[in-house]
This record gives sequence, structure tokens and C-alpha cells, in this order.
Amino acid sequence: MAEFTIYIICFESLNEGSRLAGAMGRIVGAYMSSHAPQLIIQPKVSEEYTLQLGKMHKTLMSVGEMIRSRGTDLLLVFGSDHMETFFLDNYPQLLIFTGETSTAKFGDKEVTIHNDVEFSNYLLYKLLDDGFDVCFSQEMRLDHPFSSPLYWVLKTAGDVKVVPFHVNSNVSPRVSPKRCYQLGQAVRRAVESYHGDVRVAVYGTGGLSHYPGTPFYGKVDTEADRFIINRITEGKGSDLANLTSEWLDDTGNFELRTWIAALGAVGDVPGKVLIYERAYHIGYCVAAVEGA
Amino acid sequence: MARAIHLDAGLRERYRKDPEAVMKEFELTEDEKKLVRSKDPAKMFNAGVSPYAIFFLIWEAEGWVFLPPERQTLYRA
Repeated sequence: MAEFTIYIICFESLNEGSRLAGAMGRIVGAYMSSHAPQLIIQPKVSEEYTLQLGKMHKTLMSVGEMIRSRGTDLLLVFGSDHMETFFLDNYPQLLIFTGETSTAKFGDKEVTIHNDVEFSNYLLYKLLDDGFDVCFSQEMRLDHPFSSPLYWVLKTAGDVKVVPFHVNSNVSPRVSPKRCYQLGQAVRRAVESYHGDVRVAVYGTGGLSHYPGTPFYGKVDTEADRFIINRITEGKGSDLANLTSEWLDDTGNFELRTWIAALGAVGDVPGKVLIYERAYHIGYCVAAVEGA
Repeated sequence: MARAIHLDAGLRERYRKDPEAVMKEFELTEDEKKLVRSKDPAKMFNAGVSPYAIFFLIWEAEGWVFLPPERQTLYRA
């Protein structure tokens, strides 16, 4: 009888034991970038634009190197959707991909991601326990919000698994900025209570200022972008959680929601802006916040 | 219709060759057809068409994404 009791105690404390032994997940950094389809389509519209795209590609590949040098196991990518993957027949606010792989094709270019199925399910269950009603899908046809930046980042990021996390930033009504930040914080809690030594980098895609498909196309609110950049470099990403949906719409920064989630996960640590290019249609930007 | 055109390269080609046939297939109303025929993104937007549908139809299908910047931007400060 005594042996049986001891066995049960040992089994239940395995998780706790491995945590006490130091095994836990860690957020190693947060990266943020634009996800415009032009980054992968690369239309030759002007010499200046070709140069700007070149700089963006180089910067995205350097982000891949940063991700690799942090010993990252898993890239959790917060991305959005422009009614490519999801439609009016069933539109999720928050959704984790729990399938094995997903491939996106753009002309002659292909982007395949390999998911960490076990971790994505762990995260899903943990978030529900923590009060976030996240959906899931085992089949997810990813489009440019994930594929466009990942095409470049994955060239240099090494052997990382990618967990796509949809955060509705584009189809009203959308997740509030504050809730996005809270989601990031909940993700961090989930990562840190994981029963293994997993090194997770979070990545937010979209932005900065742009107004596609509207009569404001071509406008770039550089002042708003400067404010956002300032909050990131000062380590005050949490301020962005207080932005209103109206401000985000007015400044063409509705997609900042995914960056806000990434900043919620890494916390208020000073970051770096690796590039900002005012292109004809968008404020291209790439930023990195590498936590303590 | 716009989303289908984005997702299906074959349909996109068919739309470019014969927009009327594809619009008929998707049962667009006469008002909707007028908007699509106009190829005027601002007009479409003001009539309530989703900016993403506009992107799929004008920037993707009509190829505006490949035009020189001054010809595809709409905003004039």
C-alpha cells in the first residue's frame, strides 16, 4: 500500500519536479514586422521601391539570424487575415493553428511552416483555462500576413517550429488593443508554466501605417508611426494597449494589434527599430525587443 | 466573388478574360456589376465594398499592384 501511494505522489509531482529542477518555457524575444504581400510578390514599380524592398528583405533575414542566435525552438506568430483564410461564414477573433504543416504559394514562391502540434495544443488549453476563448483549426490555409515576412525570416532562423496565431485586426468587430496586450501576457504565463525547456520567440505581423483598398491608399501617417516606434524603443509597449480602435483606424494602424500582443508577451523592455521606410503605400517597419 | 478570385488562379484568369461571365456565375446584382465594371476603387469603397474585395479585384485581378506608384495611389494630401 505504501509503495502504491509513493508511486502516485511521484507521478503527480513529475511536472512540479521538472519545474523545480528548472525546466520551464521562456519568451526569448519579440519581433515585429510589416507583412505586405509586396514583400513576397516584389512588383517592380519604381527603382526607389525596389531598393526599399531590398532593405526590408535584408532586415527580415537579419531578424531570422537574431531568432536563431537566441536558441529559439519555436516561433509563435501573431498574424491577421484579410478574408483570405477566413470568411463571413465563420470569422474567428482568436485562433491557433493546431495542424501539422501549412504551405502557401505566391507565384513561384512557396512557404511551408512546420507547427509544434503538442505546444500549440498546450497553449490552446492553457489560454482557455486563463479566460481567453481561443478557437482552433487543424487546417489553415495561411496567406500573406504569415507567409510574406516568414518567407524571409525562415531563410535564416534555423530549425524552428512555427505556431500561427490569428488575431483579428481587419474584419469588424475586432479584438480590442487592450485585450490583445492581455492575450500576450497570458501567452507569456502559459509559456513560463510549460513543463519543458522551450525557448519561444513571439512575432507580430502587419503595419505600420497603410490604408489598402480605401481612398486613403498612398497616405502614410509617419507621425503616428513615430509615436509607436518611440514607445517600443523606450520600453513602453504597454502604452500601446491604451490606444483606441478609432486611433488605430485613423492612422492606418489597425494591424498594430498583433504587435501589441507580441509586446504583451515580452513586457516593457527597451527595443530596437531595425528599419523604417516610408514607401509609397505603407510605413515599412521591423522591430525587435529582446527580453531580459 | 472577389475572394474566390484571390484564392483561385484559374478563376482569376477567367475573370480577366471574361468578367461578365464570372459576375453572372456569382450572381452579382446589376448595381454590383456596375461597380465592378467601373474599376474605380474609391467608388466601390464609398458604395460599401470591403477594402479587401477591392484589393483582390483591382490590385490583384486588374494588376494595379504592378503600376507605378503615382498611378495606383489614391490619396492626394
